[in-house]
Amino acid sequence: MADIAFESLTRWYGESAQRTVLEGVSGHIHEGEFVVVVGRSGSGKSTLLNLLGGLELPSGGTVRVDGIDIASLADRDLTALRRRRMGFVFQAYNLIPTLSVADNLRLPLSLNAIAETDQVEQWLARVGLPGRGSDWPDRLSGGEQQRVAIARALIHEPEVILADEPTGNLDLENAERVVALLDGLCREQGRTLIMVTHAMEVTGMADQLFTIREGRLVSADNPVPAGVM
Amino acid sequence: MKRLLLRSGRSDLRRHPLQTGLAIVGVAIAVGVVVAVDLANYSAREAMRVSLESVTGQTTHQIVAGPQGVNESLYAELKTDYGVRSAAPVIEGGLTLAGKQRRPLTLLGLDAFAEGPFQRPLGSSDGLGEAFNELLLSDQAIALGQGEAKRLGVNVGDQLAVQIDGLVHRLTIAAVVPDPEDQARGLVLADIAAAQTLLGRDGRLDRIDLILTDAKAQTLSAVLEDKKARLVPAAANATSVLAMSRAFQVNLTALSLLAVVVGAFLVFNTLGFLAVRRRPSIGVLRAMGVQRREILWQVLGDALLIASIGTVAGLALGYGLAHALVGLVLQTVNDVYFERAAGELVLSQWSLAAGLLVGLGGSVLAALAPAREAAATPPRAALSRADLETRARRLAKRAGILGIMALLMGAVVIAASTGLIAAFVGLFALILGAAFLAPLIMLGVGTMLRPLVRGRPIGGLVVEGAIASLSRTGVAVAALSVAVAAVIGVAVMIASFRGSVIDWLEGSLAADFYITAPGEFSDQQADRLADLNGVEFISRSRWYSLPTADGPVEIWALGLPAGRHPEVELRQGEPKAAMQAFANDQAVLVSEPFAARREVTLGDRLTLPKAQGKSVFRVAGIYRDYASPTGVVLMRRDLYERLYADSRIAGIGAHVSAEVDREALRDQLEIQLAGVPGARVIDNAAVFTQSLVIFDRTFAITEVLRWLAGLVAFVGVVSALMALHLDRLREFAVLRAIGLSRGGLAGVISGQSGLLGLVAGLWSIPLGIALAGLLVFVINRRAYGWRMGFDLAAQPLMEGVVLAVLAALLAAIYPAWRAARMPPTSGLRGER
Repeated sequence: MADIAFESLTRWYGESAQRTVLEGVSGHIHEGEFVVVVGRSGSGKSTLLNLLGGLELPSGGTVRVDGIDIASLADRDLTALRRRRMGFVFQAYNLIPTLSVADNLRLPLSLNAIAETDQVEQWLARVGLPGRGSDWPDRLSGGEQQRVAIARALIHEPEVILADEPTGNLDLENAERVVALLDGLCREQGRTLIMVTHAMEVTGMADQLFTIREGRLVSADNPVPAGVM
Repeated sequence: MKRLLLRSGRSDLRRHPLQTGLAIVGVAIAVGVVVAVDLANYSAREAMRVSLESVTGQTTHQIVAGPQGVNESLYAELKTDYGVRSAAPVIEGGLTLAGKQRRPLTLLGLDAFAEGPFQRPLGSSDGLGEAFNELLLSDQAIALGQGEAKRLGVNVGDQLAVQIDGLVHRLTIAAVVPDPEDQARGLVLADIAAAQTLLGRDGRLDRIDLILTDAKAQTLSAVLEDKKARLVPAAANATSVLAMSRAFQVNLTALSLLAVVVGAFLVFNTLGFLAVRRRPSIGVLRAMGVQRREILWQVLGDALLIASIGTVAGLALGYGLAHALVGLVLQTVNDVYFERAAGELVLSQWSLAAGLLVGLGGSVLAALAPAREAAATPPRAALSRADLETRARRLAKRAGILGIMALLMGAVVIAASTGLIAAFVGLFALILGAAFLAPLIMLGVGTMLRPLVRGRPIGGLVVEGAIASLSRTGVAVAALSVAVAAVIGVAVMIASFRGSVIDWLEGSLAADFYITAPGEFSDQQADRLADLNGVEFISRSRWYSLPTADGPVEIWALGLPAGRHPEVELRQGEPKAAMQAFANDQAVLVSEPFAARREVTLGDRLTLPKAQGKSVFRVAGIYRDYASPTGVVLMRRDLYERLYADSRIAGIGAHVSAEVDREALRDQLEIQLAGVPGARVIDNAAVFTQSLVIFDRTFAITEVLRWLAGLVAFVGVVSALMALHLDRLREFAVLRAIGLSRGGLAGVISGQSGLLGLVAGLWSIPLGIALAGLLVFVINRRAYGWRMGFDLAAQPLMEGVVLAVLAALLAAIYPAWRAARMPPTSGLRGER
C-alpha cells in the first residue's frame, strides 16, 4: 500500500516563478487514508492533486511514493506507476467517448495486462449500473458517467485513488451518491483516497483535510476556517 | 457585435495556426496545380501558334504540288498571267547545328521582294534593312530573329556551322531582325535562291503562299489543275496540328482537374472542421442572440480569408510550377505533334482567372455547407459529439446513395456518348461517385472490424476512433482514395500503354538494321545494300506529308520484294486478303489513329489528292500503330511512285539471315554507305530502346501531374487527420493519465490513421482499376484512336495502398508526437 510524502512542493508555470500556483506545500498521506483537499477556485488544489498523482512534476520540492522521489523516475516508470498503483476520477468524467462503457472499464485491465474474468460486470453492479456495459458514454447521465469513471479508476485495484472535484458537475443527490460510493469502495478495500472538492459535507468524512489558499497550505488536519471556501 | 464576431473568428484562426496553415496550404496547392497546368497548356498552344504563324504569316492559301514541290516557273506565271499580287515563294527544310549541340532548326527560304503583305517576322525587306542586299547576293548568308541569335550566342558577321543533308555548311549571319515576340524561334532565313541551293532543290519551291479572296481562290484552283499543282487553305496544317495536340491538352487539363477535385475535398474538409470546432462557441453566441445570418457570414468570412491568402500563394506557386511544366508539355508536343514548338511561359489572364475561381469560388462553395450547418446550431449548448456523429453517419448513407447515382450516371454518359469531353464527364462522375461512397465504406469496414476488437479496448480505440469521427474522417478517406486511385489508374494506364507499345515494337521492328540519312538514298544505293552477303532482303521507305484541305496526311510508301508483306498487325481486315490487295490493287492500309480521326472503316474509299487530280484508294486493312497520333496511310511504293512521281528513299530496313555475323554485316553496310553524307546504321534494338525513351519522355508530364494530385491528397489527409487528432487531445490526455505509455499512445494514434489510410488505399484499388479501364478503353480510344491491352499488375495496386497508408501514418507523426509530449494535465484542461 502506498505511503505518499510531499515536501516543500512548489509549482510554477512559464519560465520564471512569476506564475506560482503552489508554494512550499508539505504533508504526509498514509495508506488507506481518505484525504480531502479544499480551497477556492484557482487556489492550487488541483495542481497539488496532479503533482501527487504524477500527472505533472513539481518545479521545486519532492513527492515520494513509498520513499521514491517520483521526479527521479523516467517517464516510462512514472507512467507505469500511474497505471498500476493509481486511479483517477475527473470532474468532467473523461470517459473515452469512442469506447463502450464496458470497454472503458476494460481499459485499465488491458493496460495492466490483468486477465479479465467477471470484473467488468461486478464493477458495473457495484456502481449501480448492471447491464449497461454495451451503452456508449454519451448516452448516460452525468451521475452515471461519473460512476463509470469511479469503476474505471478502481477496477484494476490501485492503491491510491485521486479524484479531482468528482461531484463538481453533479446535482446534490448525485454528488452525495458518488462521494458515498467512492468512500465506501475505498474503505472497503483499504485504498487511499485523495479528493479535491468544494463539497463541505465531505470534509467531515476525511481522515486528513488540507486547506489551500493562494498556493499555500494554510491548514492540515484542522477544521475548515471560516471564509476560506 | 459584428466587429466582436469577426474578432472571435480571427482569434480562432490564430489560436489554431497549424490547422489554419494547412487549410491555406491546401487551397494554395489546389490553385497552384490548376494554374500551372493551364499556363503550361496555354504556353504550349501559344508556342505552336506562334511557330506556325511565323512561317505562314498572313497567308490565306498555299499552292502545293507533289513530293517534288512546285515548279518555280509557276510563281512567275501567277504574277504575270493570273494577276495574283500577293504571292510569295517558300522553301522550307531542316538543318541541324553542327557540333555537339545538334539542335534542329528550320531553314526558311523567302523572297524578300514578295514578303511585304505576308508580315512574317523574318523576310520582309523592311526588317532586313541594309542586310537585304547581302542576303540576296550570297548563298551562304542568313538572317536570324533577335531571340534565336541570343540563344545561339551569335551576332551579325559571325559564322554558324550547320549540317544540311549530312554536309556541313558555314553560314554567315547577315542580319539579326528585331523579333520581340520571339516568333522566329528555331528559324533560319535565307534568300529563296540560297535556300534552293543549300537544300538541293534548284528550280523547285515547296509551296507558294498567297493572300486571296475565296472567289479568287476558286478561279485559281481550276487553273492549277492543269499545272500539276493544287490550292489548299493555309490554316489546314495549323488547325490539324492544334486539333491533334488538343486531345493531349484535354488529358492534361483533366488531370489537373483531378487535383482540383481532391483540393476541393481538402478545402471542404478543412473549412468543415473549422465550423465543427466552433460549434460550442457558436452555441453560446446563438444563445446570446446572434443571428444565424451573422454566424454564416462569420464562418464564410473566415473561409474567404483563408481562401484569399491560399489563392494568392497558389497563383505564385502555379506560376513557379508552370515554368517547370511548360518544358515537359513542350517536350511531349515536340516528340509527338509538332517539331518546332518551342517557347517560354506565357501568362494568360484566363489561367489566372481559373485559379481565382478555384481558390475563392471553390473555397466559399466548400465552406457554405458547413457554415450553414454551424449557423443552424440551436441556441443552447452545442450538439453533443454523438449527435454530430449520428448525423455524419446519416449523411454518409445519403452520400452513399448519391455516390451510386453518380456512378450510374457516369456509366450511362460513357456508354451513350462517343466524344472525348463526354468521356471525361463520365470519368468525373465515376470519381465523384466513388468519393461519395468512401464514408460509407469506412463505416462498413469499421462495423466489420468491431466484433474483432470487442473486449480489446486498445484495438477498440483504434477502430472506434477511426469510425466514430466519421464527420472528420469520411471526407479525408474520400480525398485520399480519389487521389490514390488517380495514382493507380494513371500508373496502370501507362503500364498498359507501355506494354502495348513494346508488343507493337516487337512486332513491327521487323528489320534487323535501320538505315537513315539526312538526305535521301537512291535505288542503286539500296540495291548495293541488298546485294550484300547475309542480307535477305531490304525494305525501302519514303514518308511524305501530303497537304490536303483537311490538314496533312502522312503517307508511308513501303517498297518490299515480291512475296513480302508489311510487318503490321491488322486490327481490321482479313490479313491474307488485305495484304494481297495492298500488294496488287489500288489499296492502302491505314493506321488506327488515321481511321479514328478521319472516320474511315474497312473497305471504305479514301480519296487523296495527287499532283494532278485525285486518287481513290480502297482501305484494305486497319493496322495497329502508336508512332503517329495523326495517323498514317501505308501505301505500296510502286503505287506511290506512280501517283506522286517520287522515287526517293528516306529509310532502308535490312533484314538479315539468322546465321550472319551481325557486327561484321553492320560494318559492311557502313562501308557501302560511305558516300552518303550522315548515313547511319541503327540496330533494331537501339530503335527499340530509343522508342521507349521517347515514350517515357512523353509521359513525364502525366507522371508529374499524377504525383501532384497525390501531393494534394497528402496535404489533405495530413490536414484532416491532424485536425482529428488535435481535436482529441483531451481523450489522449486521459489515456496518458490512466497509464498508457507515450509509445502506446503513439501506437493508438498511428493505428487510427493507418486504418483510415488502409481503407482509403483498399477502396482506391477498384476505383483505380476502373479509372485505368476508362483511360485505356475509352479516353485514349476517343482522343487518339488507340486501342491497347490492359496490363494489370499487382505492383501499382500495392504501391497505391502503401502510399495511402504511408500518407496517413505520416499525418499521424506530429499529433502523436505532440500528444505524447504534452503533459496529461494540459490535455485535460483542454489546452491545444
